[in-house]
Amino acid sequence: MVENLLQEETTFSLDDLKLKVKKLEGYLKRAGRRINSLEKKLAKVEQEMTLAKKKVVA
Amino acid sequence: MLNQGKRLLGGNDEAQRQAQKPPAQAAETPISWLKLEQKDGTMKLKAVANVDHVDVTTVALRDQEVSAPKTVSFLGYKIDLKAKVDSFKDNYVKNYAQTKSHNLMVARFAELKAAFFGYLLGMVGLSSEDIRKLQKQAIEGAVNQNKMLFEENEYNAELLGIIGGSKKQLRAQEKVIGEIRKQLVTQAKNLGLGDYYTSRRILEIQVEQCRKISAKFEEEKHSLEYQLAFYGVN
Repeated sequence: MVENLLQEETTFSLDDLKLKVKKLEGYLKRAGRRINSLEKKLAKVEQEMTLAKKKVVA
Repeated sequence: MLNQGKRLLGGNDEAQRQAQKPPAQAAETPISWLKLEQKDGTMKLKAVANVDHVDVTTVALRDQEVSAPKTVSFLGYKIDLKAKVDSFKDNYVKNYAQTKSHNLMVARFAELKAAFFGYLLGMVGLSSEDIRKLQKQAIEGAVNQNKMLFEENEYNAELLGIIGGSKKQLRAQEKVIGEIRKQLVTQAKNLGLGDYYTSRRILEIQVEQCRKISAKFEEEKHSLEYQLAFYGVN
């Protein structure tokens, strides 16, 4: 017995299109948060590297 | 105009029927949409990440089958080696690149084959300088490929992280991606890149890939909004 019926994209209704947009907005928010988090990590790594270089010079 | 009037008068059913034919599809979308029917008869929309698995087997795929040389001077037979110079060069470059593989067995076997093709090229009359040029060409190609595959692998990791899924599935995918990352780092070291993939560079690549994903999502969203506007829905 097939429980899940996969349908082709051509059968998506307008409600589905609206839902897709809503979901994409959520993914965009997640992507933005991920970019911010990675940028913070990168800044931290760069700061550590600068400090390490200064120590070597001193 | 008449068609537009019909569409507007037709109501929601007509509009939904029209929705079955989208006016434009994004060329490369980061996600596919699946419509699932639940046991209770309700429909659920699920997003699936479009991920191309990175292949790091480093086994070169030949564009064409290479047939045996027609004329070789061997045991009274004549083989025309000069006619096969391009094929030998191609094979030498491919096998030389494979000698830097993360897989020890593949690397050793490729060394054997590269030595054989190097010997054949020497017999044909290629100088050691030419062979060195071929080696350089092979390394440059392998380095570019390694960088490209690393970026693709990070793209997959970020996309799967953003789209999400079941914990078990995510953990398994993360494991595979981590293994591929490790293999690519080993290969980079073999290629003479040393510590190219530092934590800083990996973070930079991840940020870049995240931005790429975000741009593709935006593109997809605009395309969907255009479709909605096309069917007269706000």
